[in-house]
Amino acid sequence: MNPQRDGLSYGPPVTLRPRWLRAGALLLTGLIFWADMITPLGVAVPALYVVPILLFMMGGEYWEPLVVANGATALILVGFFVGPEGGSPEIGAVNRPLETLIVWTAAGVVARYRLTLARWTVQYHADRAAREQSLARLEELEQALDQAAIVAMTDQTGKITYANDKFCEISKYSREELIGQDHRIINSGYHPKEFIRDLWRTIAQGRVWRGEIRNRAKDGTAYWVDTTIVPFLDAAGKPRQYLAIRSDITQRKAAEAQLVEQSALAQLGQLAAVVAHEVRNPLAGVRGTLQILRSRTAAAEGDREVMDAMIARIDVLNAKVDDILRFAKPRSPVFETVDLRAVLLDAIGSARAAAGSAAPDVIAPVTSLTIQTDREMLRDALLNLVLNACQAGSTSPIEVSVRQTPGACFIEIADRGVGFGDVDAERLFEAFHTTKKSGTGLGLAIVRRLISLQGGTIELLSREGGGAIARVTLPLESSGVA
Amino acid sequence: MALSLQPAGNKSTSRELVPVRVLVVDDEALIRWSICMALTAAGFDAVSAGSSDDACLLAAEWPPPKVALLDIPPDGHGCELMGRLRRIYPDCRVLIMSTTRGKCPTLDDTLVQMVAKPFDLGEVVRLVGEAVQHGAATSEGVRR
Repeated sequence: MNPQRDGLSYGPPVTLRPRWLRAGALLLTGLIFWADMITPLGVAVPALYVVPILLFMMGGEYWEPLVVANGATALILVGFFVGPEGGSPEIGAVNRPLETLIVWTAAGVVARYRLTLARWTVQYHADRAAREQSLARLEELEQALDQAAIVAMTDQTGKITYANDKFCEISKYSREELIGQDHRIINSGYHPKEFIRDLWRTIAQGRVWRGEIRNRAKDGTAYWVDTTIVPFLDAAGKPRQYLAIRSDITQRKAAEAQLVEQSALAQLGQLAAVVAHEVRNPLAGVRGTLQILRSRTAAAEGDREVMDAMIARIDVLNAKVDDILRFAKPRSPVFETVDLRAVLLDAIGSARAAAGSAAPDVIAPVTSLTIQTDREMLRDALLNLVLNACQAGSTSPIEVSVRQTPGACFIEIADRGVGFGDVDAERLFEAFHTTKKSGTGLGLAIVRRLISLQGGTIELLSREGGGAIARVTLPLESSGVA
Repeated sequence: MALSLQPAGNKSTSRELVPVRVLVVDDEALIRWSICMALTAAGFDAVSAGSSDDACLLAAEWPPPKVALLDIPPDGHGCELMGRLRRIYPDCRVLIMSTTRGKCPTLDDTLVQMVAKPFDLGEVVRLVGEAVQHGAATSEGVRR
């Protein structure tokens, strides 16, 4: 590993093999001794013994310079007694101890250097091993995290800088489509703005945010994720990037929602039955009384119109009670073999009649498909969907299509109306949620209830080029194309 | 929506000296009043009661009711009254006025029909007329 790349300030220096060092030192020592032997006393040749000692700067053990110093000391002494005649023995007697001191000083420095270097090297290798171990562990953790969780990293502005495979898989976006975008790309519009503001406020303050978020995939389907967002701070304590770790909890949320819905529906059903009686009974009395009073009123007085209007209002009120009861307390489905095309044509005809003269044309499917279903329930559901499409604000024809796979049949009602914009499609199925001025907000909730009672599902999708598609999926059993 | 006050039970009344009696039982006074008015205008002899006990007292008077319009609240109490009436007058046709469906155990009886509240009075008069005619036809068949 390159020490500089690793950010380490030290590493192993240039080294020579110990064998070469020792041979070189021995040779140099021999040469210096020979030079000393041929040089008269007083010449400071023995000072050159520091050279073989300094050689050990390039390698060897820390004690080897000391061995050389010992040898050099002995040779300096030998040289003093057995050196050639002549020279200056007095100067030699002074120089030789000084040269010995120089040799030992050099040996001490080199030995200390080698010792320190040896310790640093040990430390370096230990650090390197630990670092490699940490990196390996991090890689394993990353792998495990990628396998277990949906991971994304964003910069401080919220732009996605990293997305793992699971994120791509659940969001149905490619990595290239996600990188550089912010998380609005998967925003379902389900959560109120205050929820999103709280999230950003928390992480911008450098605190971890945890919560459950409903997102929208590329194909419009919704998914829930349990989310933890961890901010990483710079030296100034400001977030420089965020790591979002999510886990898919769509199934759990669906089960929870189903439980809550069932419980709420059971309570609503009980309440609705009582309320329906308490409302319908006086309505029946008032309606009947109005009819009697109307029959006794002279036609010319104009009061009859008022009474007719009152009776009409009562009928509207009763229809709303009917809606609540159908949603809260529907009957059990009665399955029979049904020609789907015939049911569709019936529903289309009734919806167009209800929508009035402004209703757009409807392109009906030509394929007949026999399915096991509750005819009345399916007709009611399809009528509602086609009527919604008729009232979607477009004169373009509504396209109704049917297709099947081995296990299911799909009925799609596609319009070119205003669509549902940024509104989360799931919200439109919630009871009492309405986008119309008049209406109970139960239409789509009833449709979903009727479809789910038959084991089917319904979803609303945005249509390319504008408009919406209502897709009903029904399980196919003992069916066939005629 | 408009209420027709043309007599609907006159076929049976022409054969008998007294008009066909129809018993109306409902705890809602406006319902009793309006149905009685509509039936009377249609030529029936409509009598009404606000409770089961009053209904039994009225049913014991002469002539016996040919048709009974009974309110069956969701708790099903009206079923008991219907059972008592049917034991005394087995031929008595019953029209159940209910805000809900399927509560009464004898609802599958061919002599019992259902009308959902709130109803159109014309529809009620028509159903009573049909019940009377059906009852008369059945009685003639039995006599032959």
